[in-house]
Amino acid sequence: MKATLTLVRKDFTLFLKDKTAILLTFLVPFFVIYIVGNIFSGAGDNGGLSSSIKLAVYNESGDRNAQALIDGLAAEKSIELVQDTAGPGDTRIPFDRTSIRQGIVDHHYNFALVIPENYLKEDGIGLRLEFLSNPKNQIEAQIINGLVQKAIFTKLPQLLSGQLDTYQRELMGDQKYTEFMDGMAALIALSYEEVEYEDLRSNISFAGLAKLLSGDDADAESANGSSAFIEGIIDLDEDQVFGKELKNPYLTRMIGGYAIMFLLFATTGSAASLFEERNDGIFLRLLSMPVKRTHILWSKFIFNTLLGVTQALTLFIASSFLFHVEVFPHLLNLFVVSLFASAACTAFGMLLASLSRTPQQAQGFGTLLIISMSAMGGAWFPLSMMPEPMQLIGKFTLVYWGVESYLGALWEESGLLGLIPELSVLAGIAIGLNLISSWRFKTGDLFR
Amino acid sequence: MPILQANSLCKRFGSTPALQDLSLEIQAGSCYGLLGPNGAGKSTFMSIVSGFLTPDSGTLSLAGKQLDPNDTAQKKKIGLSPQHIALYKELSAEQNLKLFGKLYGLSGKTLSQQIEYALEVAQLADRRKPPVKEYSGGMKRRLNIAAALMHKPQVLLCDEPTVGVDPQSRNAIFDTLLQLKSEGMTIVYSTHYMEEAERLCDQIAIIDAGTILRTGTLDALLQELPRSNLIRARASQLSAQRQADLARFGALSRDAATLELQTAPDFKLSSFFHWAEEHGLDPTHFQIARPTLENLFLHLTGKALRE
Repeated sequence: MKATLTLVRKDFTLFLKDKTAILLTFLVPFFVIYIVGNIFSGAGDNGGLSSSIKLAVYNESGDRNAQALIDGLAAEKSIELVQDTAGPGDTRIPFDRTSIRQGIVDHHYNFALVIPENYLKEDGIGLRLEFLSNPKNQIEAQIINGLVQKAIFTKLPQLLSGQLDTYQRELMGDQKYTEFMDGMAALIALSYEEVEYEDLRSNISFAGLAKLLSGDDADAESANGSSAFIEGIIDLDEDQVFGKELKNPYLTRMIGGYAIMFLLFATTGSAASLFEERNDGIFLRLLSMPVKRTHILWSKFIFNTLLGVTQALTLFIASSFLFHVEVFPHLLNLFVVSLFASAACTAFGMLLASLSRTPQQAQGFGTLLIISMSAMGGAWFPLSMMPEPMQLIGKFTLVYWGVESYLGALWEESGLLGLIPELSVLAGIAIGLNLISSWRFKTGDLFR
Repeated sequence: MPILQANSLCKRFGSTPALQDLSLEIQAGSCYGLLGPNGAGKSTFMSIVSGFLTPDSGTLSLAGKQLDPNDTAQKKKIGLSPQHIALYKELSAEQNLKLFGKLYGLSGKTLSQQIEYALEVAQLADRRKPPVKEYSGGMKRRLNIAAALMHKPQVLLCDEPTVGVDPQSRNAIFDTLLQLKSEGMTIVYSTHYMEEAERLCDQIAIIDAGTILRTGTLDALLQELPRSNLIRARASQLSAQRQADLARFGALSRDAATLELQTAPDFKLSSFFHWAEEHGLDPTHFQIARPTLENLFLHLTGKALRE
């Protein structure tokens, strides 16, 4: 026991001598809770979101009552409503059916609601709405679905106002309907002295009563409570723009994020290998030969990039055999995306090596940065769950662009041309990070 | 013309000076020893010559031409055996040599011949296949040197090549280096073992704190010491009277078992032996020690070479 305690004391002594390790010990948990806290701290009052999800809406019917639904959606803090698209010059033009769908294809938003011309059912009471989606992130898709349904249920009485009265009049007959409404108006006027019978009678309708019953400001709970009754009268035609035919949509969506994290952790290990070679005197021997620093760095970069590609492709092919992720139809695209993603991740590893003095520092900084980038880059949670500033930062991480590239290849089944924007950013990241590392390697500790 | 010439080399690591105004000349075909304690600047000098480090100031020339780390032709004239075992430990001796040979631009038959030559030098021809991690310390050290010979350099830099090896391997390394020297190769040999410098080197530079304190042949360096010999005897073999008599020849010191006599400047060895014979003392009881580089280092710096 004494020996154990002596060894524990030794570990603490060594730990306390490593200022970077001490710093990282506190920084890593701080960053993790900062990010997770920012994502989930607004869960109670904002539908689980710290900011809003874009939802495009097109009211094809032009009906005034349908506007109530749009107003209801606009009132949701978690939804950023988009009602028009870019026109010629700086102008904005209202959506039509083609442009609202194209917005999803062009990644301007992932969800759209169309209120069709004949949104009221002709063969009974009910609504017919169309919901277009690119549910590339399942959490986001579930949240937006819930919010749209809540808005629909809350505004249902107004949406159905005319239809309900017509339907009840037909059902009860004119006379009975009139007598029922007279009776209701008289009853209310008797109960509430401030209400004039004549005013009430001229405005009362069956839809108004339903509205009164459900409440215009009904909260989500009451709306959900009446959902069983209402569900039967709403047809929400869902049109999944991407990923509809995939056999394993959940894994297909997630695998890109994990592939990127995997690549990042693997390349952090490669950063440590640079230090091993330095400490073994290998660099000293190599540089005494007709070998330059750039030769060493390029060889490391190329080797680790190719190793990363091999590992990523193995991961995807295994997912195909084991879990039926559709990989083989997109193998070429996956190879290209993996090449660019691996190059960016390797460049990140090289940067770590160039900025660190010891392999332990590289490992520590690597862990901190990978966790932060994965959380903010959308590998764990959708970006829309984060505050706007964090979303912006997230878009500057290679994780975000890596995840988007893999989603493009596997989920949206984009061709190589469609992937050019994401691949360009990854290439830019790889080049930028390599330039910084090259500069740092000239002045840093690795070659000293 | 010296094959390697350094003029006023300076190198600092942060605020720590590693080399301070270091100048030296190394003649072609000689073995030049850099003798100094750990941290003296020997490895820094080797690293600068090999192109790994750049000096802050000063010049370095190889065969009369300014040494340029980017000059491939110049680099091929130098072979470095680093202080570390700078080998890929998962690879075999043969694979390591092949890799380094290729990096020196060798190929085909020349490469194969040089691999065989290096394996012979390292005495590893029959152990060429196992990975280096399975070798003994001595085998690794020998291979570490052999890897620097793949391209037949004009100058071989050996940075403490015998650290941690057994006497047999040390002798094998010495034999190899003496053979290379006899073939005309210039060897720069850094060590903190004075007996190695004495055995191998024609010229020796005594270096400490990044500065060369003295340079010259072994004999010339030892001339720097006050002219005195050290005579040792076992205290038990001399009576108290005889021990007192010894003081006439110089300064006497003793511990429990040994008497040490630092002879006076006018000391004559013949007088000493005459005195011993007169008193019936067997001359074989006395050991006469020659001054060493260790004494010289102590004399110059006031500290031991390996403290």
